[in-house]
Amino acid sequence: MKTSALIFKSIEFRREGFYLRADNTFPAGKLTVILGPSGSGKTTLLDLAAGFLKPDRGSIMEGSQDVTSLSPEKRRVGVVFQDNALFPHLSVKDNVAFGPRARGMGRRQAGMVADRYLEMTRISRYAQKKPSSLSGGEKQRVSLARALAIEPEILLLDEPFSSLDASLRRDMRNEVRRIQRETGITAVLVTHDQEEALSLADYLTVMRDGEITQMGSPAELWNFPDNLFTALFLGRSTRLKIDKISILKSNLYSVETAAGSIWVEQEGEIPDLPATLIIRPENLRVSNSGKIRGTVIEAEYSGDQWKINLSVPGNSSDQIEFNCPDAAAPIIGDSVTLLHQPGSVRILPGVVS
Amino acid sequence: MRYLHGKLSGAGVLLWPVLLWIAAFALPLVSVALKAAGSVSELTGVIQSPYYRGVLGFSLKQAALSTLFSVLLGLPGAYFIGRHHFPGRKILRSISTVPFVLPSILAVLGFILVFGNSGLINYIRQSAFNGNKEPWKILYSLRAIILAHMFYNFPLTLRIVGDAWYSLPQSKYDAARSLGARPVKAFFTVDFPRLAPAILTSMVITFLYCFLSFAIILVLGGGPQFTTLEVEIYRLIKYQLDFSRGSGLAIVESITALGLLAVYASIDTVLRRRTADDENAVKIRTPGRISGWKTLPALLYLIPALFLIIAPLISIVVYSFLNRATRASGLHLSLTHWRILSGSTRVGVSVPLKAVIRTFILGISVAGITTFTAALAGWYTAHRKGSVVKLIETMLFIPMGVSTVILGLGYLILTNSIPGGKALRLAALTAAHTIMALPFAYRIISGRLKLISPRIPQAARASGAGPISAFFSVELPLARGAIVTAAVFSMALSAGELNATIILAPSGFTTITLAIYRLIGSYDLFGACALGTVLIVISIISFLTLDKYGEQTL
Amino acid sequence: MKPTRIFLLIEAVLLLLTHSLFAAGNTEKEQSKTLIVYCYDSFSSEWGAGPQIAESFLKENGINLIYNAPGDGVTVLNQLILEKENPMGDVVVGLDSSLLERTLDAEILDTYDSPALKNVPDELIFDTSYHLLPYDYGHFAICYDSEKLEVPPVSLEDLTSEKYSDSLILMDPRTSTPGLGFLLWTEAVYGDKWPDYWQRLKPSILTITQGWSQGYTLFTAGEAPMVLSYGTSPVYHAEYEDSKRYRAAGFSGGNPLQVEGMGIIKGTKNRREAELFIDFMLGEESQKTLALSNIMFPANAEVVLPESFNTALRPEKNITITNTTGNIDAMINRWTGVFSH
Repeated sequence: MKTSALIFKSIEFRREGFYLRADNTFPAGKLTVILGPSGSGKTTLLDLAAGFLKPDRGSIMEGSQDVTSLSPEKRRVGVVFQDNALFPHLSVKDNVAFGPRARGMGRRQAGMVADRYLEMTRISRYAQKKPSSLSGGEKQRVSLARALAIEPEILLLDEPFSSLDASLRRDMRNEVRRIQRETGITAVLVTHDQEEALSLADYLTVMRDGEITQMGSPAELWNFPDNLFTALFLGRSTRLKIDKISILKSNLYSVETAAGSIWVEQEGEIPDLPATLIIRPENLRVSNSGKIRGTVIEAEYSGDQWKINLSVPGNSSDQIEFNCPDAAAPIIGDSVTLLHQPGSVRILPGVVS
Repeated sequence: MRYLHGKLSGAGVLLWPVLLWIAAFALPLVSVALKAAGSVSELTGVIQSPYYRGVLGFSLKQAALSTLFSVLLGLPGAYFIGRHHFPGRKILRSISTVPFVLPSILAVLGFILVFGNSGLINYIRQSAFNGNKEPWKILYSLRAIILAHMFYNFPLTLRIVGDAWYSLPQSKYDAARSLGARPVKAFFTVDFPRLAPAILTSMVITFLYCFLSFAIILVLGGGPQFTTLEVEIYRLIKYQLDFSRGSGLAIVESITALGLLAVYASIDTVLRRRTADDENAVKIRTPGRISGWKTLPALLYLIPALFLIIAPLISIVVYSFLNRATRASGLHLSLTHWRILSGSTRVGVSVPLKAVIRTFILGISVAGITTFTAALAGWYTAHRKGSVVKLIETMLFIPMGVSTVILGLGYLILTNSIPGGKALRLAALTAAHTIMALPFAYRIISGRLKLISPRIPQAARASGAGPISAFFSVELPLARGAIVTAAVFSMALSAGELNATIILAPSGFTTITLAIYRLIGSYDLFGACALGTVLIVISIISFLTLDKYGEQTL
Repeated sequence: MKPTRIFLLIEAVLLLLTHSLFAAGNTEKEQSKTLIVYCYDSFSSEWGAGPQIAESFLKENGINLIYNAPGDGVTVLNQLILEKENPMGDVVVGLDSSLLERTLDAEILDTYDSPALKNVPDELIFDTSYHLLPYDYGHFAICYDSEKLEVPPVSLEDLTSEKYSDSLILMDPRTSTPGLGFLLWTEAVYGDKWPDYWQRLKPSILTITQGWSQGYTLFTAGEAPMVLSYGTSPVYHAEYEDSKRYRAAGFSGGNPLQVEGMGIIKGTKNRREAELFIDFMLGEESQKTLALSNIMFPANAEVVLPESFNTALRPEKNITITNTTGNIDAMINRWTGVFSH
């Protein structure tokens, strides 16, 4: 299968109070996940990629081909919809054969293509059934097979698992991953589920208010978020408003917060105030020599450990989150000091309002 | 350039409906308007006259009452037809459309034979009371007008709402039930709001029909105390050649109708917006059986409803087999009047077979072109937003609010300025029937198309189908039930239409309805009934066949 | 896509069907001379006199008759008036005496004093200017069902008798020619006092229909024993049903005469053929065909009528009713006033 990168060049799109901008490349042969809260414009981005919507400005490329003015049927883009959008009047096989037929293939040949993809998605035995008699997971497999049957250069998946239950969701996730690897297709998947996003993605992007905030490998985004929104949206984080930053030496700073004075080791330029300090929970542990102080306000047991929330006296928007093994867990109301690795802390511009 | 593609294909799709509308509707009206100079000054006179105000008042009153009762009678039927399987369901569905096909004169006859002073009901009553009772005067009153309008129009509710009910998604209702709502409550909070657009549509169509009706009102009302605006328009235009005053009245009539349509359109928009959701709307509830506590109300409803439709039809059929000719023998069974079909009539021409074929071809053409046109317009309005959509919707509804007398006059003026002969006249006839059926067909089809999730055609587009191809291969099949209903109504309207047919049919082109009208005009009532029977039987068979196709499982 | 093709195919088939229809209609030979005859619908219909007359006219004169029938007589007149500037027809058939004044006012006809009129009694020549020439006639009359009514009414006044309550079917003068004829009849008999007569008549009226067809249908269906119709109506039942059950009541004081007329349309380029046609219509063969199809008396007094015509009413006196445009509106207003309670 030929694959191409999906490229958004200076795209702008405006609709009744909504403004989307994008200037990104979704790399060829990789699965890129767009994560974002609802209303952030994820689906609009896919609709633009598929040609259901036309941008007001900028251009969309499939590899080296400009497809901005092409209608959906002229692009080589397969789409798996959130509500699967199967054709209820056609059998499973006819649904899958629809694309090849629409692209001019003969009936028999299209049937063979359909069979191949039904097999790939492991639903051959339902070929003759109508979609209405299938379960949610099966429907999504058909939807996937239908999207793949046109042998697209780009596969778009719009919250494909949102209507499935947890275990089915995991299965389907693996299935999509497997098929994407097998076919080597460029895939873009939209979701609001961060576990899904982190586990699936070759590349991860986070969207907010119609804008892609950051793009990179999941680990990169997790460990080195370059903006407050990404940091807070992706997993739990301790966030402390910074009152003052003093340089100790190159790349090492002392940061004043309501929770205490904290050392930070960070490369590159440090943002001006207002700024916020972010620490991932796994990088904090209870220690008497710790510099970060707070009071336990929430403790939630999750089997192997406790998830603890601390409040910081003096600043109500500050919050400290960390994990703690069963034996040493503090209880609500305890005062706790925490130790951190200076290299695992990020100073990011802006404050939580 | 960005939107060029979309705009062009939209304009292309609209080209045909708009051209048809202009040629078959706007042009005749304009030609009348050109003849009716000065009608505006007549308007004030019309509005100030207490007589015409009374006439307008009565037109509205009888239409409102007829609509109320037609819809009330139709709703339970829609429920049974939309949500249940029961023996005779398909027949009921198909038969209920037959009154539409029936020329009004036969419908009146059927009514007289059942409800008249010496009709079936009074006959039974007389027999029961040994003939000592005064006949029970059911007809010749406002009540009779309403009853006849119910007979004609409740199938609209039955089918339009029934189809909507049938394609209502199950999940919301189930959700309401699982939250603890009793069935009645679940219906009123969940299903009813979603049915409301369909109910409203059938109400408006029924109202307009009754508002513009007049032959039935005169005969069954019993006298000029029941006069509608249409009667006066007919008199002024047709018998007085008073175009300016006639047009003045027609303008009042149309403005009233259009005002109603405007109110309808805004309510409809609100209703649809309120019930709009992202649901696929193709998960269809499986109809259940009528059982348990439902049996009694079902029977209490179905039997009288069936009687109301079927008894007049049956009496026409029976009547065609009767021979009451000689004074001595009275009524007896006879096939005499069926000679008409074999061709051994008094003038020795075999017309009826040809008439049947012509009615059929005309009906199929009209149904085909109407559904095609309605589907194109429906595609546009389902896929786009904005003022053009509103304009198109209004354009396609206006023909319902315009007097057929005026439209007929327009055709009369047009046909003599285009001498083109038979071909053009037939084309004009087809166009006239199409424009009459189009408002229905459009409402029914676009209503269904709007329920289809936009993701479905998008999926087809992404698969490689062009916009038109996606429409034909995916959206239209999904709207099949609605399309069939629209086609059935269009065919029925065409088969039963008389006024435009008389004006436009070239000599030698006789439809069944025309033949019936002419037979009655030349005293041969029984022959007309025989032909009416043929019409009834053929309609039932065709509607059954069509409906079967429309009801194949989705 | 397949479904698209199917749909397009259906459309194509439909268009083809419609076109083959046109083609079927257009195969008429056009080489012989043609005459365009405007007429009311029932004249040109399969059950009317038109087809038979056309056939024999072609045989005798080699001229094709093409009928244009846009509806009833009034519609024909309307169409003639509408296309007055640019007339398409040559002859018109079916404008009756009640339309005379309007026809003359419109100046749509030429005069023709046909030699064939010699066999037509003078009293039938309702247009002495010879624009409209009579071809058949009849009388408005109350027809009754002899099985239901032992004693038929003998006068308009008799109709108001209590024994006839709910027994009479009339037509609306606003929408039908016989209806208007009856209204004018009451005016001819009662003069200015006609609304009082209608007031007395009201209890006898079962219903008032839009047109003659509906009224007569109700009557034949047995809904009422009396109907406003023609004095010749019983002829149909005698001739084609062998029944003398339905009869026409002759009224003391007579019945209104209705004469149907024809004329040559002003501006015709086929004046000679048009004259031929008018003469032919008054010939014995056509007159007999007309009598039996229209169920009216032929204008030509020489025609020998079938026995069934003995059942037709021969009123003791012809009442002349005139329809002058000016007073109709006022009459209709007064008439609806009678019923407004």
